[in-house]
Amino acid sequence: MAIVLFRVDDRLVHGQVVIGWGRPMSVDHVVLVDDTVATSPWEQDLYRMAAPDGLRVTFASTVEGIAGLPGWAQAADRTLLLTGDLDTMVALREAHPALVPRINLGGIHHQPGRVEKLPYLYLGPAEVAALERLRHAGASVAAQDLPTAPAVALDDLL
Amino acid sequence: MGLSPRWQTIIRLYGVQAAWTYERMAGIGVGHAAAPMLRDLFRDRDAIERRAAVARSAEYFNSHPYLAGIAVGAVVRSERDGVPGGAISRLRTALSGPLGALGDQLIWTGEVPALMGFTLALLPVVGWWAVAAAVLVHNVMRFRLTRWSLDLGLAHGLGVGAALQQSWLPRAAKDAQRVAAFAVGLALPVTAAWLWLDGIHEGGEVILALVLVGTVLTLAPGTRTRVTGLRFGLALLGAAILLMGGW
Amino acid sequence: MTPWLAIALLLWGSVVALDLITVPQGLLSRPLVAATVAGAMAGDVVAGMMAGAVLELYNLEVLPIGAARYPDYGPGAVAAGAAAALIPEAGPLGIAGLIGLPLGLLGGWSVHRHRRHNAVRVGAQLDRVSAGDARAIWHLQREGLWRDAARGSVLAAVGLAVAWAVHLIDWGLVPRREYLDWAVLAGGLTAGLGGALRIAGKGARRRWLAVGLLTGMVVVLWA
Repeated sequence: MAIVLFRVDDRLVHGQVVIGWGRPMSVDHVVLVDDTVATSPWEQDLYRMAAPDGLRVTFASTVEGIAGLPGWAQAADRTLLLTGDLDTMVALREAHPALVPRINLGGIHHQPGRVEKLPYLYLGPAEVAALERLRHAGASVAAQDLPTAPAVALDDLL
Repeated sequence: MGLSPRWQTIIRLYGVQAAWTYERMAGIGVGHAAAPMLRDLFRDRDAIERRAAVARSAEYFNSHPYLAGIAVGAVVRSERDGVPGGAISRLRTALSGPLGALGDQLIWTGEVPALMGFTLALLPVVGWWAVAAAVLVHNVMRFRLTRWSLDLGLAHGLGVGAALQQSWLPRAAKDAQRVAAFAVGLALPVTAAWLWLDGIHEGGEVILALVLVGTVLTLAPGTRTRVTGLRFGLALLGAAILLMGGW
Repeated sequence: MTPWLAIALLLWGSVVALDLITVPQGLLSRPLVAATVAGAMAGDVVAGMMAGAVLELYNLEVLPIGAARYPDYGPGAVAAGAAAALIPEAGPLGIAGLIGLPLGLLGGWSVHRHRRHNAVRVGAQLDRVSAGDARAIWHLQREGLWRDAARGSVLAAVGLAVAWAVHLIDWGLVPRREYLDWAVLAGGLTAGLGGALRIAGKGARRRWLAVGLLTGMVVVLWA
């Protein structure tokens, strides 16, 4: 079918992803592109266990994500592609600009040096630089934690 | 004679979100819940070690509140086993998303709507007894789940992920959601008929037409991000007030 | 309304608000439970139950997942349940909508403010928390609890003030009063059905939802 949502969320596979977005968008495949989880079988088991009935979870490193993206985009599944940080999403977008048209910022949480933009979005210099790169590349980026919440455009965040 | 540290922790797990913030989420509450067991664990050891463990336990954490005991138990057991602090923090982080997703399925889209659906469906027959029974059943289940969660974490420490996978919980989460879907489906026509017959008596066709329009708006791709049942209800309420006044 | 009843309802509003997030999440904050108890306190449990039932339909679409913001119907349901019992001429459904729905929105906003206050307090104690001071953590928990209880009391008081204003209306002279009931019930059923369809997604859950709906319709027609 297509990749129906590209989301950046540092909580990775959690309720907002599998229920909040997954259910209304009829998602049946989540691809988690994260270099740490891709090499950690016990964490993969945890995330698989937490996926609801009928939802398949695939784990990939950034390199594997770049290689696999065209295939997922053409597969019959309705896929939600998830990264834990902006840099990974920027890498995917720069490798396949046409396949990553819109990016959803769902959760970048507090860390020292980050400033609150929204209750679920804290940006530091590294995140702002990554978002600037996406903006210059022409990607459509908006923050929205759940489908029923208002979307906030990138221009209102930077 | 005071409560044992385990029982103090079980009680404190009920208030794990009391100091919830967007920065640390339930971190402070988890630290508060773990404190009695950590105090007991480090009773004869260096106070600096104990304080480091308490500080670690109060860092950022978010999961479903009913399942937070799994993380608390696993952290306490890992501290007891002498696991390095970095590995303990990694375990907490890794548990956060899956415990949230599982708990949301088991409780928020499973047990709670199932109970409320059956309660609504039973109201016309048994009245407020159905409400009392729902509260009782929920709290018995809540207590058993809280205690089980803590004990699972305490028993398995760093291996809690594998233990969780082999437990009844993932299967129950899937089953609870099916029961909930049935119960809510059952409740909607029964509650509509009961409220209409006992409180309104007329305008059934208008109400049905409005429900149809509202449901389409809440689900259609173009409007579903903006129209919720609450917003639709408030809009109807405003329109009704205007029409009543003949304004 | 006697002063004792008002005090009891404010206390119940606090308990209900605490139950939503802080402690103990024991189903007391569900509008059906909150309004039924309030109706019983005010002398008409059935009126409270009907007000609670229609607000419960709205609550069925609420998903308190992650750090999402959502309405808090509990304290408003307390006021609505009591008002439904004390002002029977206004009708339990209409009064539930007039009091419970705006208060639900206000309640959701107040939860957000409460979390902000928590963050300010945690920020002030950050050095002690980072140093592993269990006493500082306990203080933060206790403060959060009291602040949330106060939030519930204020919300319930606002709800009772609205109820008092509603009580001043001569409902016998209000034309087409039934429009209120129609609007509130239609909105509630929309929330319940839309929420159920959204949450069920597709596959087995949607089939179970369909079976439930059909069973409910058969029960209604049979009864």
